[in-house]
Amino acid sequence: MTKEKAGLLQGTLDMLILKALQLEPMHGFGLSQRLKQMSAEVFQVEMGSLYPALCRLEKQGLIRGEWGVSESNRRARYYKMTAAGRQQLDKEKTQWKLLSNTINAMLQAT
Amino acid sequence: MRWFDRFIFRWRTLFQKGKLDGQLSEEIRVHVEMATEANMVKGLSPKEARQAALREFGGVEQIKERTRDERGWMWLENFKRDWVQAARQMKQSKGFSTVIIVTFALVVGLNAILFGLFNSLWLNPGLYPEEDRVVRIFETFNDSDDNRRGSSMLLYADRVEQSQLAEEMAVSLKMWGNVNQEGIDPAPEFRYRLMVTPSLFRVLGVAPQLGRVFTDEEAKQGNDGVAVLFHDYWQTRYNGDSSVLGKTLYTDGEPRRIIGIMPENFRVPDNYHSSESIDFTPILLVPVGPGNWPGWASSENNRYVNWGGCFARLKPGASATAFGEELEAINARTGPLYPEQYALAQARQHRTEVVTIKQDLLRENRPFLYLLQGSLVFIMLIACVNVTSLVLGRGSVRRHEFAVRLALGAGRVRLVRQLVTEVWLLAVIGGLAGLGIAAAGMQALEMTGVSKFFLVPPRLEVNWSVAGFALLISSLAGIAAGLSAALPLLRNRSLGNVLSEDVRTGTASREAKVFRASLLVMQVAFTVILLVGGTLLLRSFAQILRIDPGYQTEKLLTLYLYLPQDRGYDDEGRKRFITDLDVRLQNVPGVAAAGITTWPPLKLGNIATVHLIRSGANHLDSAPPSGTTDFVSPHFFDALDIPLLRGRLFVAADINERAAVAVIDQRVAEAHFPNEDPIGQLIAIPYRDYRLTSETPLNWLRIVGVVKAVRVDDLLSYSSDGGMVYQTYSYTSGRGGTWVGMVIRARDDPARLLRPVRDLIGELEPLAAVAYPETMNETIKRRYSYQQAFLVVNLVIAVVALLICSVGIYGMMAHSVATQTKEIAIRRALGAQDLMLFRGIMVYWLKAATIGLATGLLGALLFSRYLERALYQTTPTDLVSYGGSILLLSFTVLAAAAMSGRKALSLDIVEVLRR
Repeated sequence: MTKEKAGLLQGTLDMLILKALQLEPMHGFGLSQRLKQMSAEVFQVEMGSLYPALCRLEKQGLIRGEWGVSESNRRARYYKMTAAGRQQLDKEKTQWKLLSNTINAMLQAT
Repeated sequence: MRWFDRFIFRWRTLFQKGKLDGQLSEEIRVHVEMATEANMVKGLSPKEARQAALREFGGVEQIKERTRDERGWMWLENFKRDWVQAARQMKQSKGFSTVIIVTFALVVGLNAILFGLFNSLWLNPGLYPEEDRVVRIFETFNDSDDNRRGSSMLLYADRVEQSQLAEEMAVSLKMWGNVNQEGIDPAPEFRYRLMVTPSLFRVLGVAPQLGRVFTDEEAKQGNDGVAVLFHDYWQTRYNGDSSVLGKTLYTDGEPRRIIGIMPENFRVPDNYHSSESIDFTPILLVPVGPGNWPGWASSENNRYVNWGGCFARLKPGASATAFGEELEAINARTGPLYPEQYALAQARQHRTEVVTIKQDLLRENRPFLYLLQGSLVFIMLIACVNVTSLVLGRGSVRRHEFAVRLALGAGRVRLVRQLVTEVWLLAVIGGLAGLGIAAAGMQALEMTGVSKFFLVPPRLEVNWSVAGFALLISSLAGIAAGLSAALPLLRNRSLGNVLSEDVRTGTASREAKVFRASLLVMQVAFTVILLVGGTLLLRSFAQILRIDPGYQTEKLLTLYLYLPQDRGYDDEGRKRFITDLDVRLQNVPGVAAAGITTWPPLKLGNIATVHLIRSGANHLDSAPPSGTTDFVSPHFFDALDIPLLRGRLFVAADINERAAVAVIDQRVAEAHFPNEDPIGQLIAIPYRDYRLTSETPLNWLRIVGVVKAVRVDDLLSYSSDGGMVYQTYSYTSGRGGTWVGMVIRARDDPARLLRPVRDLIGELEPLAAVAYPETMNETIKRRYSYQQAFLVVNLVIAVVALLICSVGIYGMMAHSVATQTKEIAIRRALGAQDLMLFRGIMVYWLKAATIGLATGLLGALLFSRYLERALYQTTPTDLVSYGGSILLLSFTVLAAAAMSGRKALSLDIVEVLRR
């Protein structure tokens, strides 16, 4: 019900989270750092969007949260991508490619 | 498996809420710690590092709330919370809750009653199996107001032979006559019976409760000495004794063996007589069929005459429309074989119409029900607005609660949802209480005898569908009212505003004021519409009561006597019998005057019209018949107290000599003898026939007197445009049995005369049945109870509307003044006069009320047109009704405003300002 205020395109945050989790399971803080780093500090992921998004993805069965131990020896909740998440990422990547190609083509058209 | 995972996830969110919330807090705490550490690595002090981390994170509680929202069945979980909250609220503010519950209970109760009526009559009558296939056939002509008539046996026979779409067809003819149970009671009863084709039971698809129905064999002549009883008659006459099967009863002297009893709710759809007529309910069925029609029904001259109800069960898949077209085609094929009749029918634009039995059920009562439904929609609107304003009033008291909760991270939507749940809960409780009101109201309605007005008496009871309906509308109304009360919350205003608004200004915001004023406008407008409707009907009913029928209605007993055909009276014998009766009636102790007539006032429905022809006029003039005639005794005018205007009344010699004399009423005199003295003129009343020809025999009557015109068949209007011509009863000529009507004026209680009159009739003719004895006051009550019920129902609605409206108006004003107490206190402290402040409050509300009144007036002008048909001598724009409603409502508004204004001014300034 609450509107995302992230400077990201609606729906892209979920895709980026999945992308970030593709390599290894990560906890919330790590994820926020990773997203910042991936976008070369361009995107500032708001925490107000991150946790609801994680919960949403978990609800959809795309990721699964588990408690683990962090590098600084803290109990942290790690998010792992599920098989369904992997499929979803592939699908979204394809769709995104199609969309961005189309939009680029449209923007370049004279 | 994904759906399963999701399900488990949601399931957990629902039942492991505490654990999940803990997990989230822990997760966020770890996040903040990690961020703090990272900041410390960047070289910040521990304190700065933590602050930076928190800053980056934003509102922790808001994030939690939003994350929770994402979690599965959050709504269900919130729902639970809202419920608990709502229940707590209710307990805290009992008065407020009671008012809202009562409001909903009243409104939902009224709506549930009407729904019960609709449900049993229209949505779910369940009279016959597969009733969509059961249709009624009507013949329509362009020369009648009641444009749907029954069919003749001849048309029926053609159709049975030729129709492809009907599985089977049936016909029913209503007959009156004497019913006599030998061995039980030798005195005959005058009752109605239905002659039906045996196919009727198959067409309607109804089996008898006991015994059997007619076989096709029994429709033939000589085999038809059988009868099937209606359930009611079986119960009242035979106490539901099943040994009645095989017993014999007599209809007009013919023996019939009872072979079956129909089930309780079995009805044969018939012409509607509703309240206008005496009890036409048939008590038994007898078989009839081709080759065995009564003589009058099989005469080729009567091909297009209304003889009986015609029904069909359509083949599966056939539509009523298609069947109607088929019947038209049959008409066009067979009609021309009888050219004379066909030409006449064509001239009257004969059409055949087919309607499903369901469509037919509500035919007469539909306008009544629609009007009711309309009123109830308005009252529902008033209730919603009312509740909205009450909730809004409380909302302002709870504004701080909401603001604090917003600040603590509750989403606006959550608050709205909670508010809606609170109102909804009250509405549903009100709805349940409304069911109780509905049950009581239905019983009250049953007692008013409303069910008589319907072809199928409605089963008025609170059943599952009524309960479901009540819950549904109360839910919807609750949600609507809750949402509109939450509107101000939904508007995007910053928290600071909400918190500081009344601290800063000490009064309500402009928007809030406008919103409240518009609620008042709506409330007043809707109430005006209902009040105007109610007063219009009241005025109209008062008009009906004020009518002068032209005769005395007090101390009057009217009744009929029916002489069966088989007594074999010839015209002379009948005249002797009536004369005997007339003479002896005058001598019954307690009788002031007694008269013989064909039409005791108001007793029957419409009186047949006849041609009135004065000598010298062109009687081939094709104008439709417009006069009426009555066969009376000399004392008739005395008994009814009808004043003689000119000439003389009948005398005994007129009867004895069969003198060709007539007494006319003033309307005939005006219509036919406008500028001359009617006394001594001649007038003729040809036998009722549709078209007059030069061969039509005319029996001239000499006019001997003129009397005042009276309203015979309806208080609301004269029987006909043409007036009434009285002849002596010696001119009645008999076909079939004989009716003799009597009007008897008593010296005191007319009801006490019935016994001696009955005895007298039994003495004169043991086989004569007394039919429909009633005092005039009973007749009037019966005839106008429909209008009365209609009026009462509408008045109840209007009064409830006024009640709810005034509660709502007062509640809203009190609340509005409450939000202004600080402003008022400050102004008083600064030296404002109480009177000025009071006037300010009054003027403000009066302005709003005036807009409401104006809107309501427009609405009432718009909607009262639909009442026009129900009004008697009252125009839908009746000034008194409008003025009265406005006065009443203005007074209500003024009183409410004055009360709330006084309350505001009675508060202690110091006390208010210190708060």
